[in-house]
Amino acid sequence: MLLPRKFQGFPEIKEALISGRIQAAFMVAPMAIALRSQGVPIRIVYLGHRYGSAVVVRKDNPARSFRDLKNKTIAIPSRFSDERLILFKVMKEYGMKPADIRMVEMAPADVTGALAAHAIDAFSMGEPHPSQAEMGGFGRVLFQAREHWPDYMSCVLVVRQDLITEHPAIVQVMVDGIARSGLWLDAGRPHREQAADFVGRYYYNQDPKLLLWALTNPLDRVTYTPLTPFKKDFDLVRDLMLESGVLDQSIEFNQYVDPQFAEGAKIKTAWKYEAGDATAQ
Amino acid sequence: MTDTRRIVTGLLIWTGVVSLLHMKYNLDWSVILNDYRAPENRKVNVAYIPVT
Repeated sequence: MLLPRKFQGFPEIKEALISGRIQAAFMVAPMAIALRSQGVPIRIVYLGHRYGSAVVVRKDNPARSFRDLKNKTIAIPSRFSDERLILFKVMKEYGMKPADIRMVEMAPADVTGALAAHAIDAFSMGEPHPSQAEMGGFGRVLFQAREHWPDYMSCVLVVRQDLITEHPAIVQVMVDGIARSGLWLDAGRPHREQAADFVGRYYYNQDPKLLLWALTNPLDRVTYTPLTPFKKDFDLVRDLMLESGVLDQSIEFNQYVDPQFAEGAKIKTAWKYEAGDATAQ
Repeated sequence: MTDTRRIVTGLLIWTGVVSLLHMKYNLDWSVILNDYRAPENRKVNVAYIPVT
């Protein structure tokens, strides 16, 4: 019924979604809002996770506060990302102007190498890249996004409108599955250890030790409940997009979010799955 | 066998081996086969990148 397809960057996902080559995608929330605002027939139906983004500097960088990054170069995954918006939010808190830092767009996979090579001074990125910099011994988390944005979210599940109209049952299966996976992941450390192992080997093609670090250091570094899209969270994202100039005109929550699948989640229990089982129930 | 023929044969074998390895390790055959299925049998493509 569902076929996961790995991409290397959000711009490629965006193009594939517009052209209809893919019918659903996990993408950064501001990009989804911007696409809907431009008339692309998509809707946000669920969140992928909460938290999990951080601003990271080199370990030898003397910066102790974001203010110390004035006139420095910071990498972000996209102009349309929550990782960019968190920088604007923190700059506002510290009374800084957008021109006080230099932002460069960079594919997520490249940021840790760029930081280690002194090509950038810091990056604002989702996991597992902050963990990778920490594990590699050359990076230090300056702050986690949640410290300045308590209900922070980043990736959301976006579905094309034609799939919602023609096959709502498939969308519901997807949302139910993510909801149950979230409950399973948030049940405790053993499940996170199992997830790091099989996701690292079979989906992300990354060292399971890296994902284990990201999922357990500490356990709430990334959380998977609640994943229902709330209006107040998206209003904040939209307002920051307007303020930071990546959205031309305001757009209402119900124009880009379809809450029927989150509200209609049929099975609200975690998967029953332990390591070694052939299938989850 | 002349030297030219040896070199051409070697290059063809090398190209074949590299092509086979590329097809094995770099292509996602489940995605390619899915695109050729009839629309009613096609799986829904769900895109992701390995980052939160």
